[in-house]
Amino acid sequence: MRMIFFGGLRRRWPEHLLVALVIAAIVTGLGALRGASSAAEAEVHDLAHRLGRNMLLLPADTDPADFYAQRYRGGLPDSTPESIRASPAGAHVSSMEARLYGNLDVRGTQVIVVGEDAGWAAPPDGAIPVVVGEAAARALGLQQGASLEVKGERLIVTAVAQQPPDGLDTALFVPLSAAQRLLGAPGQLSAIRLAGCWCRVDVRALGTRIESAVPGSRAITVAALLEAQKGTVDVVRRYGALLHLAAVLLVGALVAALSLSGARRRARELGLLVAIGAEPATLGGLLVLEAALVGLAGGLLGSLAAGPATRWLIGAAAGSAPSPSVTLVLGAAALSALAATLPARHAAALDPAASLRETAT
Amino acid sequence: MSGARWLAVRELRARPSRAALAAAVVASATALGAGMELLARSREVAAGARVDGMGAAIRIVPPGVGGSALARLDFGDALLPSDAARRVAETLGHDLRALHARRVVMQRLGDRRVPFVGEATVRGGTVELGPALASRLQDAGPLQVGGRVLEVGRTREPAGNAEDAAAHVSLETAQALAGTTGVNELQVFLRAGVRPAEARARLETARLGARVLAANRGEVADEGIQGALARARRLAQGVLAVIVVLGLAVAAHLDAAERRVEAATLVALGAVPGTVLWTLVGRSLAIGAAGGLLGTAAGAALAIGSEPALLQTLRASWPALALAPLVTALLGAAAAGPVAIAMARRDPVAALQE
Amino acid sequence: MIQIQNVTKTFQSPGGGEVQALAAVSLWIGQGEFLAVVGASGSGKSTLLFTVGGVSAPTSGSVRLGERFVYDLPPSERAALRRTDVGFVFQTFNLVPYLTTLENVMLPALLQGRSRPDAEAAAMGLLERLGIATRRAHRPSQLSVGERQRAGIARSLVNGPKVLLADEPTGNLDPVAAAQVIDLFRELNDEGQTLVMVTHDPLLAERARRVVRLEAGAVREDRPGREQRRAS
Repeated sequence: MRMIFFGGLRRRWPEHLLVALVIAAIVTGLGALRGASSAAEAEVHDLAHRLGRNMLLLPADTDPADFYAQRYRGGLPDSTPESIRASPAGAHVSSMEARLYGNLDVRGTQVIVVGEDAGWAAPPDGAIPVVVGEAAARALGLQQGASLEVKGERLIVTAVAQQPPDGLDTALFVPLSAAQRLLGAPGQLSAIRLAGCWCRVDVRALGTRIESAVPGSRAITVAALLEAQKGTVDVVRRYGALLHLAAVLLVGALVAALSLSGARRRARELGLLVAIGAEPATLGGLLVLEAALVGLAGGLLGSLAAGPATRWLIGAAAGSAPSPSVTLVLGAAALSALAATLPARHAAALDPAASLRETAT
Repeated sequence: MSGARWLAVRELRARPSRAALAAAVVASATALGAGMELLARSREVAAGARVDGMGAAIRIVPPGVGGSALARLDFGDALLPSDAARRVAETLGHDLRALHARRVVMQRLGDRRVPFVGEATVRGGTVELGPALASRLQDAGPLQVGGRVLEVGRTREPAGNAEDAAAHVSLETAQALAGTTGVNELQVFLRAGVRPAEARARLETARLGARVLAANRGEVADEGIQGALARARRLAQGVLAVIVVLGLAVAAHLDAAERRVEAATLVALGAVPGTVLWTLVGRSLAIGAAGGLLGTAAGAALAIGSEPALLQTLRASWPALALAPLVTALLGAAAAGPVAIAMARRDPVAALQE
Repeated sequence: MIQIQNVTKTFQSPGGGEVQALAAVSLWIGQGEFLAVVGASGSGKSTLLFTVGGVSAPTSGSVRLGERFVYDLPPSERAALRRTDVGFVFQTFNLVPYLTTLENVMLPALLQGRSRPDAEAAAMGLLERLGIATRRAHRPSQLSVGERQRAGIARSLVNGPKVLLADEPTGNLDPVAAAQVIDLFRELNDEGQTLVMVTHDPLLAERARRVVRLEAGAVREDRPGREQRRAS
């Protein structure tokens, strides 16, 4: 039997090698698909958390209705961001946007002044850089490069915003310190927007902890945004699992088909061996073992190649590229063996004379 | 060629189980591929729907209503043209997923002006409160406004904008409070994969007599997530195609090679190389087409049966699905072709003496 | 009728080097001859047969069938020549496994472009003559080896070939079936059919009317068969 088995392997090595290589390629593809899918999920997770900042921190004595109606007042110290970062809650906060809002009359036009630290490039002559909302620019007759004087301070228009943040087209956006001077609110902030990955965090509890870290503050969770973030991540994960399942089934069907096809072609040889005295059941077992070995070889090769293939496909994003997977290797071997059991049983059961007659026509 | 066609058909009819098995393999590969295509598209749709929970991609308001006014929900008395909704639907066509008409009107509630947002989702006679408004009113009972008494329903989840300070009523109630019919805001929700910037440009070109504003959702919401998912889908399609091509090609190749004695006999009997070629290739072509057709239909049916929402994605996916049977047929032919050509040209003596 | 002139055939050996299967073989086969080509295994008998039949081109030399030099013909005409002028009978029968006996016999006629009724009628006639008409709807796997070979012979005759080339036609048959096949060949030859039969069995070869012995790819002997000698 050993002679038959190893002889068979030697004699048919080109066909076995071809099938093993194809199984390897298929398994590599599956591994790369899984890696690419994980990378996509990670990318979407990251993107979801860049959808926006999902918590708004206001002074406790600010009526949110007034804030939304653009009737502003200060109230939070401008050291609040540092306080939050230093608190236990700060570990969950990945970014903050702190602003001072105020209402001002400039040349008879009601404008909103928004102060934020956003990496402003200071004009050379010490003037205050300002980005103007398009409605404000229209009302004040300003274009890029124009200057205006507000409360004794000279402002230079660095840009006119067609789509200003939060839709505030009647706003003048300036550095925080400048806004504090213009609004007469030194050391103050009106609102802080916070963001972080809170997919597995009790957001209400987090809000309470932040309120504790910043006495006199009120935390408002932006539920719709939070739901959009969590929902998107959940959707992508759920469908990702379904897609992976479908891919595994597909790969399984192909591996099984290849194994079945190979075993079926051996019918005449098996009939001959049974005719000369080999045990049918043992022969069937050899067929299964042969298929398992081919599947194992293909699975191993494919599993080893999956990581490099994933990295080649998606480049640097393959941070989670698959390492060789025992599951893939054993799965390919098991699947090949399983696929071969049907023809093996059939071959072991049939009349050897019939199979010899069938094929020697 | 009639000899080749006859032999190909005869072989399929004489060995139906073998042909059926080969077609079943093609069908299952195609079915899974079709299912995966629909699932991937559906993922984009579902993700898009979650992002749309943040708000519409485009807002259409009367001329003269600026961003700041929109942010305050203070539209004044201006209304949209009466045919605005119809023209938006005509302009965007299939790219439009949903269009919500709203009437926003300021009403005095106590000592303050409060925006009342009329929309179709609120039941007539009731009012849903934004959390900031609910906090101010503090369970004061039914609201009396504009001569109407409105039952207070649920308090909405915070949105982090002026909607938190608003009262949400039915569209008819808002129009009644305003004293006129008509709407002053259209919220435009686009199908997954449609770029808001392009849709906005089309709407601006349509001269609706209104202002077309980008909602402040940001590039990540408008393009980033859909782009990432679309890239992942295309990558998966590519890898899947390679997997399927390889697997089916080798299976077809090995099966064609099995018939080398038959091919050699045909050559000895005087068949021209074309007959040998088409006898083998014709079988693979037929099996590929049959399997591909069956698989595409079965895959689509199974996927939609388990997730009816996938039906919507059929429209986007149908070119790929329609191509699948053609691709599998050509693939089968291509896989068997080289073997058949080689057999037709090779000295058949060795095979004849096997 | 068949002129084989200085035909040499060499093959590349798998281990490198060349194997000379035929060494400058020259032979004339007349119309209506029954020739047996005999020799040990590896003597080049089958190679000679397939070269004569237009299946395997010689390395050098020429083969003329009737007025036509076989290997000067383009492949499509050579294929046509195999359909109309040559009939092959194989040791391993080489019947198409998924066709019925009748369909296998019809096959060359269909390849020639004859109509299906015409091909079927010709095939049925041959099946009846060879005594296997009752097996016309059976697949090759359902036939005995003798029946399979008779089906193979019927197939080779369906287009009325000028020459029948048989490669070890009795190699897989029992003595009774083998004798039946040889009797059939003699019967066909009596009717004027030209036959070339390759065999390793010298006794069988003597039943032909002329025997050519090959050794190491060359003709070593060319004489009348024993039965022919007895008759004359």
